[in-house]
Amino acid sequence: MTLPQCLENFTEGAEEERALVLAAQRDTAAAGQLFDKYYPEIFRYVYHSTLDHAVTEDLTSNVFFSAFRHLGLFRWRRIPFRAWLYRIATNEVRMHYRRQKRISAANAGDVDPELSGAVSSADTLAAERDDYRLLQRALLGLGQKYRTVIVLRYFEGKSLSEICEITNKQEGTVKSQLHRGLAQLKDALLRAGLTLP
Amino acid sequence: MEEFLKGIALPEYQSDAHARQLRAQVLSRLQTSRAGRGAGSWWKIAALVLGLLGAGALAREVIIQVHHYYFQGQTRGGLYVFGIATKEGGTNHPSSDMALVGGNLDAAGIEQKRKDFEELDALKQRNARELVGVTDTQVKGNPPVRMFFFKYVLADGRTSTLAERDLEGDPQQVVNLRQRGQREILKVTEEKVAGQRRRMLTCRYVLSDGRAITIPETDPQQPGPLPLTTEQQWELAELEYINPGKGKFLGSEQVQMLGRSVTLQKHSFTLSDGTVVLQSEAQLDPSKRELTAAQTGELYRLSAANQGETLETYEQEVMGKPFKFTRANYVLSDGTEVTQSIGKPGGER
Repeated sequence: MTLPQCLENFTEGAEEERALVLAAQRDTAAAGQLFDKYYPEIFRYVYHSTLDHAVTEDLTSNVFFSAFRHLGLFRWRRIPFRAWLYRIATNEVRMHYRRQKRISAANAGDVDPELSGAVSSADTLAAERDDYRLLQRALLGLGQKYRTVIVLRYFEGKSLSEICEITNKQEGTVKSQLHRGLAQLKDALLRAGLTLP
Repeated sequence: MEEFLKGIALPEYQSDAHARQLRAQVLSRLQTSRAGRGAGSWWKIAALVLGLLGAGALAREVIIQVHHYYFQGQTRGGLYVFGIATKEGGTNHPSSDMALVGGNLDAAGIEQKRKDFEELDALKQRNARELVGVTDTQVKGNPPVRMFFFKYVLADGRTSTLAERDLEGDPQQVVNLRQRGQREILKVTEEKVAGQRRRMLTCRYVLSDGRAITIPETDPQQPGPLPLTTEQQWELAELEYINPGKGKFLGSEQVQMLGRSVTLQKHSFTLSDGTVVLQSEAQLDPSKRELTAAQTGELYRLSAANQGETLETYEQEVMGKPFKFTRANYVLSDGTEVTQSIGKPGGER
């Protein structure tokens, strides 16, 4: 996995994105291109955040319905379109886990839905290795803000500036969240018996 | 730790079928929107909630679009929220539409309600329903607003009466009026969250028969969208329309807006996850308005208790069916004068 260039050094790509968004506002074919451009990475991000096929499809659908609902009236804001999509996706994932907790509270006695939903899905067992399974359990034990920045940084390869735009936080805050999140993650993995390099 | 994370092999998942179906769905909705349906769909949440309150105890559910329903959770006010998804090729595609239900439901009740909604959806699509009531509500000096009450009979014999702001026969009128600029802007509402703004205009269209339809529409000058998920949006709608007392009043300000001096009322609403939404609202012409949610509730209570001054009875055909209307005047606790006509089929009382 390669890290993309920082957005501030990628002005050509930003202009290209802006032109595509403007075209998509007028032309449905261009809107289709916009969808094709961002669907794969949003889908992958949601999947890495949930590890559940059905949930990934539902949440990804929510993201694009939400984003394209007002596409015709979209005006360029402080953040690029891509970062805005990731922001919506991050919120969708966060809300998904909150709903899961409420359902779990209504059905007392069930296994923690966060763990069961993310780890025991029959769709994902074939693809899991023990160390990734432990990692995912440990990640789910972190607070949402730590989990988000770790997934964006190490699974999605986002730069600090991109994470700042997605989470709407200052760089210092993101660095602090990464530092604390990694520390907590490390403790959790060591307690689980994982040997780290 | 970083080395470990960078070296981890992530499982991957792709679904070409989902990509194709979602793409078709998204572009289809985009084309429909551009074909002149006008307002963005988020307003359906507000209209849904207002419709729910406007019905009072006659009906507690409002359906907008129906296909597959799934339970999403409960609002802070205790309403049960059912998400709505369209079915295509065997896959459910969630939409932004939803249904709200009051009451006290257990798990079995929630599942029964979900099934009921799906059955009601099928009945509505086939127009297998009976118009059993019509109300026209008119704030003094303003055109009347109409609500329709439909009775549905489920397969097991139970009946359900739903209040619907049915635009049957009207959608093209509204499109035409909008294209000609023939609308009144009653209210401007601006919301701001995380530095992004969205402005909604409460627009009133007067139809050829003299009644009005009010539709919230995005202002092209500040269209948003706001960085809120679907769940955050319905929580905000609930706070703004069902529990407005939960908002914090920040003060008022005289501003120039749309060519006139108006008083801007400012509130803040805090969602359950701590997200703060700042709201500014201005009534452009105090004489041109509709009832608020609280006023609608009060009107219903007065009507149910027969505490109005009866003016007249008359007959009128609605959707090809004869109705007998009783019109009465009411004065709300804040002095608002309202005339409401309640119509029953034929000579029924």
